[in-house]
Amino acid sequence: MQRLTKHRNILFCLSIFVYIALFYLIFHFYGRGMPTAALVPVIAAGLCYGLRGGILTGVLSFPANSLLLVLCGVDWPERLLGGGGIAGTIALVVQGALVGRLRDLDSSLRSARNTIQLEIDERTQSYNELKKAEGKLSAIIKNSPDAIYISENTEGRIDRANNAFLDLLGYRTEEIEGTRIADLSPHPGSTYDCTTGEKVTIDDTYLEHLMEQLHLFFEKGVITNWEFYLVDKQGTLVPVESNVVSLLDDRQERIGDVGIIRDITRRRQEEATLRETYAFLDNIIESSIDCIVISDGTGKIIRANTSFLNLMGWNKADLPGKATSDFSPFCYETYRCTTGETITIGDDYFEGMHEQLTRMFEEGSVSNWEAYFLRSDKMLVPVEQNSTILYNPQKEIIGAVGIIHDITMRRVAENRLHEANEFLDNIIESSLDCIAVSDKNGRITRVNRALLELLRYDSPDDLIGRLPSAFAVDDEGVYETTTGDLVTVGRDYFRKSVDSTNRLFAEGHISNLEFYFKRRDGILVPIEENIVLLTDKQGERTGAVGIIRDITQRKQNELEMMRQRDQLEATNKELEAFSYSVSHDLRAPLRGIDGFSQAVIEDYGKLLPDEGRHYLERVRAASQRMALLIDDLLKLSRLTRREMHQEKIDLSALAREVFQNIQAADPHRQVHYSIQPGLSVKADKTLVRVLIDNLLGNAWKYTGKTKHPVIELGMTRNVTRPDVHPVSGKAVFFIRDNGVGFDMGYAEKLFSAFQRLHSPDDFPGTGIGLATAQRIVHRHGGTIWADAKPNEGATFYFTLQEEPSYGK
Amino acid sequence: MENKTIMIVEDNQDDLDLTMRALKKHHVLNEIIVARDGAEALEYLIGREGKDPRNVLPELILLDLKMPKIDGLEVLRRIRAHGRTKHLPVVILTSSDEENDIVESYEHGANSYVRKPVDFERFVEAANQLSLYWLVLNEFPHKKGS
Repeated sequence: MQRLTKHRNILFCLSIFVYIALFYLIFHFYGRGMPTAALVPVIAAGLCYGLRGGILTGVLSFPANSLLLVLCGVDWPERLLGGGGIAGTIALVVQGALVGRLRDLDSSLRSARNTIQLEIDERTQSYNELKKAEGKLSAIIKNSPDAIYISENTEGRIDRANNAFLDLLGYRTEEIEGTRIADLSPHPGSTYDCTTGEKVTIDDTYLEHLMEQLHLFFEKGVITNWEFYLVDKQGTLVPVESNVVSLLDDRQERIGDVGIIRDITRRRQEEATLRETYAFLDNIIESSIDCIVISDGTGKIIRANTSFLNLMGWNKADLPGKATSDFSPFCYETYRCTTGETITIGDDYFEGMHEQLTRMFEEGSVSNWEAYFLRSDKMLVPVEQNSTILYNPQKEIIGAVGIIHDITMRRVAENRLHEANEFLDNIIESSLDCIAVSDKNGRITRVNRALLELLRYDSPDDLIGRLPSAFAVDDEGVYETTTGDLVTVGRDYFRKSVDSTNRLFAEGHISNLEFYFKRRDGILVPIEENIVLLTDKQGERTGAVGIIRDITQRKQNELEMMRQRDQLEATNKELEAFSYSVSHDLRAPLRGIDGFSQAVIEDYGKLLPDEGRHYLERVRAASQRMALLIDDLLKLSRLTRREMHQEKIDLSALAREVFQNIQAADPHRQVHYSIQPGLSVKADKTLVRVLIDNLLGNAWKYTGKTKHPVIELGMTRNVTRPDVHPVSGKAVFFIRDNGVGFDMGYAEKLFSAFQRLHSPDDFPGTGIGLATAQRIVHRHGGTIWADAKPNEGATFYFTLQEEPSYGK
Repeated sequence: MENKTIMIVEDNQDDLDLTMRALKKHHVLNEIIVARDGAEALEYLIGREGKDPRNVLPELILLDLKMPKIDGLEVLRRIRAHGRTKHLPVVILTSSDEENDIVESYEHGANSYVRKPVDFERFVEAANQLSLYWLVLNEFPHKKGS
């Protein structure tokens, strides 16, 4: 039937051809028309096209038959309009309709059967596939590395569990079937050993979270990535992640669950390790003294440590929303800097920044990048930073990390160093002494103006790079010098030079070295030099500094002094001879005067009136006094000439001894004396004895008329000489009495020879004692002065040491 | 005591007269030989060169230091150098009280050193004590032999 339908057009055309052929054959043999032949196409049409095809072909058979008859020569009207024609046509139409209908019925039946067959085929296929799928599923479930359980009831009892599930918790199939999931869950409040190695307590937080998840599951029927704990057969807690799906029946009622469970012990451990690693890194970042700041690709700060916050003066709360641009200073702005300077950010600064940034993007990182950061208080902080760009695995920039170091202190130190260098430069340049610096090879690296002037050079370049031999005396010979004398430089000079150099290298420095420098014009300048070798921290020699002083003037002075000393010595000799002759020659006539006056008195006294005798006695007294004066004068001059022997003297003991001698010479007087014990001094003992003898003798003498005489010898440090020499803080000795004293108005005359403030009748003496005392004090480099009031006593202060002076 | 002679070596006439007077005042009646300078004294004591001295030696020499030609110290040195006179007591009687003079005098073998006081009375006293000591109390080795 189907084939018929497929080829029905050909069949129908064939039937038309058969009809036409049949019609002609019959007409040919029988001589008459055969309209019944049209039955062929009508039946064919009915078969091929159904009811409507049959009827239509039946109707069309009438004109077709008519046309064929005309073609065969039959008269048109007669034959055509015969009763047989119309009846035949009607019969054909009916025939066609019948056949067509039949055919239609057959078609419907066929198609219904086909449909049923198809359905059956499909179902069979589905069933087979289902069976196959179920087999696969079972295999999958059985062999799944994830634990799977199926509960086909609403109580959560496990009906099936796969091997992985059994392995996970260590149960056998028969032990697990019928167990509820809840029975495998840990007890609230209990503490378990966990497979991760930790101890875990099932606390309320855990339970709350569990309940929350359960609600969610009952509500939606499915839950994914649900993390909770199960307890295995040994009672160990196992962290798991689970997907659970409810099984529903046709009415969407829950009839069971399927759970897929994965042991996440490993993951938990890895997470813990990762957390530790993060915490470790975090600690490093946070505890770094250097500032660490991490920004994302847009420059927004995503992480900054406390050091950085402190540097910027930010709080942690300030951080969100901050970007690296927030600490960049603005161009052409002037800021105060933490170094104390005021800094204007110019184009050059930004050019430098740009250069560094370009380098960072080209090379991925940049080190020791010096910049300024703008603090929250608008102060600039000089920093040094190492910046590295951060990439993701796709090599896209995801940010940058900067490690920043505040270099304020370094800058300040650098500035100070710079200032110190300038300061030093100024000192060197303005020094009156000549200064030369050389490198480790002895080549001159620096000279100051004074040295250039000394050596008559115009520019430092004349000397820099040369060896000091450029201005050293290089050959024996006779030279003109700046002192105006000629000097002979011999072998000794060079030997001394070599010795000095050796000493310099042995000791590292050498002082007060006297040499000659040769000026550019060949004239020698006497100099004094201190040289210090410069060494670095490792003790390696890096060069030397020489400080040179022109001692022309000193040399001239020395020569002058030598001449003067010679002169002085000659004068002294003369003075000595003079004194000697005074002692002899001046006294001899006095003896004559005295002796002969006495002779006159003795031999001719009776011839003289009383007055004459008296006068002669006066002559004698005068000559004797003059003899005394001469003697004292000689003593004084001897003190000047006497050689001194410095030794340590127990002044207290010496004074006691002197005092006892004085007392012994005048045993009737009662004088209270006090001598401070433990006084000592370095001086010439003989001279000091004379000094003390004079001063104590004076005190003794001038307390002669005092009722309760007191004499005191001591030492003080709290007295200053009112006039010339400040002696504050020095040991000053004093001898104090409560005798007649004197008017300070005459104090100046006190220490001159033969000057007396009292008449010899009141207090005998020649007036040489204090002059002697002063001379002794002066010879020791000390000073002596007095403080007194008439009738209240006198204090004599003296020192026996030179004024402290530098360099000794 | 009377036969003992004293030699005074003194260039100053005043001093000489006063010394003589001082001695006389204390009744020192010994013979007094006066030499007016060192040369004269040496000539008397040890004679000129090549000649043997014939003079009787004094018992005591009072010697001034500061004299023209040959001074006292040189005289003393030569006295001590000569065998004939080396034990003679020599008292230096001079104006000087220079430490140097004193030390040198003793070093050259002076027996005593006396400074002439200006006060004549003290001079007399000194002369008296000198003569008393050296002429009366003191014993000399050569006296025993002669």
